[in-house]
Amino acid sequence: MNNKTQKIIRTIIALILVFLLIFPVFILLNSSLQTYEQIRSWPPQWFTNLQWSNFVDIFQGNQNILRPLLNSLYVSTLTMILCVIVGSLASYAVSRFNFKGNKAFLMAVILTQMFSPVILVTPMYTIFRDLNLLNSLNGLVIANTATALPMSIWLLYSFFTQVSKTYEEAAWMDGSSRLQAIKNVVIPISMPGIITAGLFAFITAWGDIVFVQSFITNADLRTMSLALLNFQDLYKTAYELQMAASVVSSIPTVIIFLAIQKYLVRGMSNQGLKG
Amino acid sequence: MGKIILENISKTYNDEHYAVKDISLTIEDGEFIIFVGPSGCGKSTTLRMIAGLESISEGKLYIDDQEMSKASPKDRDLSMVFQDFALYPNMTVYKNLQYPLKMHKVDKDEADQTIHRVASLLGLDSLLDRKPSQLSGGQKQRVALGRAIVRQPKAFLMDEPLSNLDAKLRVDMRYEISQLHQTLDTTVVYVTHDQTEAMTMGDRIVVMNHGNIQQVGTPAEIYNRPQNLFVAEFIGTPKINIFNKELSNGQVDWSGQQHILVDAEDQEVLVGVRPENLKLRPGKSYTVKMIENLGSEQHIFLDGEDKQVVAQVAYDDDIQIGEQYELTIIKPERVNVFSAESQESINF
Repeated sequence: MNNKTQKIIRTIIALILVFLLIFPVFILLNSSLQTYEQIRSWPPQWFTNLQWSNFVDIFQGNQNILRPLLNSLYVSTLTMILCVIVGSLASYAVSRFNFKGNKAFLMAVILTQMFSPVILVTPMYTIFRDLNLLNSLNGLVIANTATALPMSIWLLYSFFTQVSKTYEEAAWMDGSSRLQAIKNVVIPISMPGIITAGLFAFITAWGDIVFVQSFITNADLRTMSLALLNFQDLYKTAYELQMAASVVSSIPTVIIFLAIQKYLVRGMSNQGLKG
Repeated sequence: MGKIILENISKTYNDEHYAVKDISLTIEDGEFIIFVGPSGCGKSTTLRMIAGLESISEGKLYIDDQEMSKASPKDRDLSMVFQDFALYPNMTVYKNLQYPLKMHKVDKDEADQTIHRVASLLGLDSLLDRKPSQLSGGQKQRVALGRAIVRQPKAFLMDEPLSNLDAKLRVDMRYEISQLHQTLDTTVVYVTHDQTEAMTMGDRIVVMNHGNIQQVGTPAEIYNRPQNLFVAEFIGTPKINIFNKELSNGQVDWSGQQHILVDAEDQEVLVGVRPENLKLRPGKSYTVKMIENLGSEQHIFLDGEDKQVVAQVAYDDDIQIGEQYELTIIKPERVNVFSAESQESINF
């Protein structure tokens, strides 16, 4: 097999993979712009008779997703901020200070990842009930932070260990305190890691269904994932509206991802060193 | 001012093994002092203790007569050039140079003038907008130097700053750092394992081994009058030749024809002769095994009965592999004699 044939085969395989990944998104977009009957018809219709009104309908009536959207944004953003702040401080400490129980701490953190939220939800429910955190968005923030924080710590830990300590030492010699060195040097260098950890926390909270379904009964406090289930009822599932709401629900993560993509690609932990 | 005094300083991590053991040294203001020694000898640890990047286990450190043993790095008013340069990758060259001034709250306009002055001194004018990732090794080195000299610290600390550069650049930078020291007249504490850097740049050299200072002296003193066998063998390329001999009646016999006079008791001694102090004359004792022609001189490697010797001869001396010679000492008064037992010098 010559080089050209190999290249063609590789391209075909890559195209098939990309197609498999994009196809569900394609169906999502298509369904969000059709009527209920079009969706159920066979053969499927592709982007004909576009029903833009679906996107208007989901912001009206008793299935209005505006409130859940704002609730999700609140919970996810706060979870992200908490995970980044607590995770950065914890992982910086573990990566820079050699204290007793350093390794045990990291093991304990990874162990907490072994339990799925489904196992945790019952004890959490009891605790939240006692603390009056049921039916509260802040309760959801706490639950999601508890789930996303361990992974955030590990992500940030692996990043901080790659940032040479010499950068900090150089900053100290240049007249910085430890905090100034962290703020001016370590955090900017670690930005791709911090953003990755933040994004991870945001997506975890955004996609949560277990906690919200267990802790929230007040309709005003529903998040997007719960609101999406609202389009199903006993006799009919309004697929076209559910898909339109799903498209809207994907927008924040897509926007965030596009905005920070350049930071994710660009790792610079060793750019100021020799060579 | 930049006088640094180390008083009985030690560094230990576990109270048993000492990385640096009880060293005392006074570094005078404006002096260019070089710490040299093999890997793991404690030279970098000593520098880092002066910088405040490593805590001092025992002893005291004074900078300009103020005790600084426990002061944080930022309060010591020293600047440092690191082995791997450690330029902030998130900042441009300009911002890298500006950072120490910003931390010391220097007025923005004054800082700008200083940055441009330093940039022009180091030939960095055209690179000010670049990020470190866009610089070559030599350029990064210059920026690292610039960041150190952009403010006027009490002393510059340099931790093997040239070890990541290629050979030619290293020679150029060696010259530039020496020039810079003459221009700025600030104390420089420089760590290297490269004896050429030590010999060519320093006012004084501190030779270290196993966490101890072996000898402190000018490059000429260190080279010509090493206090012990370690210093004699560590300094000098090619390495000094060591011969086992007997000292009796105040003299060491050298091949029956020459005598080295030593004012000491009769004992077994080690005689150190530098390659350039050996002359080859026809004979049977040593056979030429290899010749390294460096252009300006030749290094002749000879095998004796139980010994390999290297001699340095002129570039135009006609010597061939396989030829046999005797060794003569050119200047017996420059020979180093060490006690075989203590390995300390007994003739200087």
